[in-house]
Amino acid sequence: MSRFGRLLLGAATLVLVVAGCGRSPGPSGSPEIDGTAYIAALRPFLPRPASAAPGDKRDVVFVVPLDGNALPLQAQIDVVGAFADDYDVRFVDDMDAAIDERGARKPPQEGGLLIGMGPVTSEPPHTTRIELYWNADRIEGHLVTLATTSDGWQVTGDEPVTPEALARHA
Amino acid sequence: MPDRHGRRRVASAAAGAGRWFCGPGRQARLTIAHCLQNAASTLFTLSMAGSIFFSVSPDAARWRVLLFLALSLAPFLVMAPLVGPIVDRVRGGLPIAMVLAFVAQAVLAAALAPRLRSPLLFPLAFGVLVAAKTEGVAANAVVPTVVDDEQDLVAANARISRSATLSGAVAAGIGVALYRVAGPAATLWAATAVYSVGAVAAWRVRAVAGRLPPIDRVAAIELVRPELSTAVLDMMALRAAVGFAVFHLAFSLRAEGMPAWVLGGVLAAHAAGGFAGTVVSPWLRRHRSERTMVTLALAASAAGFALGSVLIGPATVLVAMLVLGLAASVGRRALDATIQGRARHARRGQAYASLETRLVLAWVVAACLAVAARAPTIIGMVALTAFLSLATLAHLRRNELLGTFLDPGAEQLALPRRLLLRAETLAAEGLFDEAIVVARAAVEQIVWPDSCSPPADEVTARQAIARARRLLDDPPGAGGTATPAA
Repeated sequence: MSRFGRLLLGAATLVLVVAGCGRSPGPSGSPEIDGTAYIAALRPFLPRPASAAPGDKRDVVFVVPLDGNALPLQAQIDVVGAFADDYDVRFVDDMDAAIDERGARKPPQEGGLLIGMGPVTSEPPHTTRIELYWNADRIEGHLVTLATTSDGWQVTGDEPVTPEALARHA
Repeated sequence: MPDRHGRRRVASAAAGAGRWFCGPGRQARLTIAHCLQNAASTLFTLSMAGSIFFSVSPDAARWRVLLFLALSLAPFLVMAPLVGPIVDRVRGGLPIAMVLAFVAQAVLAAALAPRLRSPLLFPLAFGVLVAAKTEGVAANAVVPTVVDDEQDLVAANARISRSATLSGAVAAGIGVALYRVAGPAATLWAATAVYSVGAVAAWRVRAVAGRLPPIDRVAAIELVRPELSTAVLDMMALRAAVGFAVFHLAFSLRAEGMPAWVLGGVLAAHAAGGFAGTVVSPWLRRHRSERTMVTLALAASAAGFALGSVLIGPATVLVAMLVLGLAASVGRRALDATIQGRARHARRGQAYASLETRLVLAWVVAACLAVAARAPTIIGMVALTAFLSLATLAHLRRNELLGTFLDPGAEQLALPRRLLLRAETLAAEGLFDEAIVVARAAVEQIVWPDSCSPPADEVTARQAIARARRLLDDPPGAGGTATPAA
């Protein structure tokens, strides 16, 4: 390869590295909201874990962003790790990736639960929207309020709301 | 109880199977080392199914993967030109590079085993990828030094590739069972163990591998010969298609909710195609020229992705990847045959390693594009169809030009015109002394058109070349026996 070719490839590499580093991976305006806030918000809505023997298949829970912006990678890893003993949590970018289109009333794949989750607001009161999808006919919406205590993030309020994002999609 | 003859027959059959798998003499050690690499890589890939990659969203992982893919370019851009010559000068330098690659993979895999579900997955996994590619480049560059007969290069490469694929298949069977019983971390520990054994096997290659000569002027000229540069461009296109397809499908299938086993199927189909290529290539080479083999490989892979684009679904994606694996394998055998037949010096040392590096770079750059593109499966399939179709057309066009340039015949360009073209090409490459000599030969042909009196066939050409080589090796007046008269 010529010297010019090497330089060109080197420059392309640098551009890609800078692009990779420069991209903000999470929703803007909520840098201080870490994975523990999302863990606290999700915990009350997870189905009761089956008392399965070790090695048995865990319940699948799909999590999709309601505003279209993926949670920061570290927050996703924190959430997956926090529930790993009981649930197989899988983040998806789009609801279509989690839905079994051929199933009656379009349930989530693998008999799982689909949870839509909005960003936790960075200013108090810290709220987030949660939508639960079992099938096209059964969708719930919640507006969850969170607060930081000495034990970390806790849910301090849960108000039922009309599901919007997942219902519109279904 | 078997009699003595029976035992002898069994021993003879076992030895035959061993030769079939490992190759003769010095090739055996290299084959074993590369088989261990493939087996360990298969176990490593299987363990990734239990990693955080399949739990986080593709969009969140995309930029991290792109960053580390881009970083994986660096060793091939910077290390190869700087460290390559040093590695070549040290006896057993390339086998040592193989050993270091194995050790690096073992260490990184051991570090990754307890961190499969942490953000450290990305740097550690891409470190393993870079080391695996380095091992591949080094092992391929060692092959010419362990081949006793230079005409065996193609067969040796095909045998090593076939045995490595078989080892990967066996490791896949064991790995799936291990994964089910003990989980992804145990599978990764098994990969670590195989990498460690591979380091020992690579160390044993030192004893049989010869020292690699640096790129000399002749090899450098051979690398820019149109037949070889055309073959390398075609192979780069196929490798780029493989890199793009693997990473595109890794993201798009996940984004579309396909389970991990579909991606596993994609990789298995590609490996199966590669194995089929090692079986089909010798037969193809007996019946078709290298250039036709590449034409078929490019056209078949374009057709495979066209089918996959029209009838999009898991089955057609697997078929497209199978055909691409087959095409890349056939293309590789054709490139080896071209090097073996037409570039005697380029098949040694740094020249061969530099070819390998170019192929790896094509793979990595295309993989970066695939990750950055963020396209649905169908768009990637259509893009691959278009790319491979264009590569086929470009290949056919270059073939046409090569035919004009290389094949003498009444309907082709006259000899003086071809000599003039050759002189212009040499001058453009900065080889002015050769350009002057060839231009003078063109003038001679114009002034005395009948001076090329012998029949212009292959036998006569080979005799003339052999005579020139004898004169070059043993010039008259240097105490040699060769005479200029023939």
